[in-house]
Amino acid sequence: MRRRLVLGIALALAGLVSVGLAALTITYFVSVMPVVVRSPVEFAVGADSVAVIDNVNKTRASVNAKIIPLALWVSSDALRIRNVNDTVLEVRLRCLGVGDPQNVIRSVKLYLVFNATSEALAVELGNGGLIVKGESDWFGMGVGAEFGVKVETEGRDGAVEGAQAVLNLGVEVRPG
Amino acid sequence: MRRLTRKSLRVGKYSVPTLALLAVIVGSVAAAAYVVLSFTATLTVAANPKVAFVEWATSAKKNTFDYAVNIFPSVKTVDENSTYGVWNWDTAAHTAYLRIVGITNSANIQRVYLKVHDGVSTVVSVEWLSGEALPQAWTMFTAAASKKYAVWVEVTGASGAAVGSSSVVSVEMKVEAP
Repeated sequence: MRRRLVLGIALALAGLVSVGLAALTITYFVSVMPVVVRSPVEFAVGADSVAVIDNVNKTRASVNAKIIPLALWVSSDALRIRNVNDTVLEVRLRCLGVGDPQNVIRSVKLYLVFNATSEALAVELGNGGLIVKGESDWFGMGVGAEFGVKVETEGRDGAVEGAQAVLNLGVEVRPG
Repeated sequence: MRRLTRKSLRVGKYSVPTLALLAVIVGSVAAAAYVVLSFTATLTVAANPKVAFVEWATSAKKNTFDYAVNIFPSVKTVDENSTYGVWNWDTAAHTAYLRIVGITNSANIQRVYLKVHDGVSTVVSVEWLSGEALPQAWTMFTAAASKKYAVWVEVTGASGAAVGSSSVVSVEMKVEAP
């Protein structure tokens, strides 16, 4: 009889504790409502006509570069990046990935070009696509300003004609 | 600053330091204001640019070549048609450029003279004389369609050139619309 009483009290206490714990669980509701806005920067095709803008929003682009064994291939105006925001921005170029399955790269350099006399090395790859410099510094970009992207490639000796390598690059933008 | 660190705000029944609350708010704003756009660069291997070097012995196009020659103190050595030439193998003319970018052990050399010619006329030449700056500016020329040119090399050794030592003359050719 006494054991039954103890067991009954213990079960009642356990029930009370579990109800108390359940009561401590509170759910808060937060709404996240993405609104489509214009990108702060947009791509434009450079004078060398080696780039293609991939979408109507001008936020994706492809550069079709050549790479020649033991020779430099240079496009000094491959792609342009425009500040279409009404504020000063900061921009940097970053290598997000390299695919060189056929080992064609001897070196690749990408520069941010600010004007006719000023440019900065942003990304550099060495033999086989090894990342030597993965990202540039942050550079201030005034309202309406336009930066160019210069691409310089050099192929490895013996690279087979038609073989391809692909670089994925990010343009990172933050308020200036 | 001291007032900020001491002052607290009441949020419900809790008291939160003002500075900590401000840090959280500023951090949230900064983290949100960040955009990454991406683009791809596809590199496709092309064997040779439209204007390349040509190895006379094999008629093979080359993107680079090494040329070795013995020079003698105070003597001009001339090779009117070196083992490699310049070949525009395209059906259209191309603008190209030539320059000397570097000379090692330049004390061994009195003069370097290079010219690209077709046997009749010179299309471009570059020259370096001891004591002068290197001609690193590009000198332009037009390579006519489907035409091969010879490369003339003249090197004069300095009077005090050290026997057995070597110098390397680095030459670059730039080609537009390759």
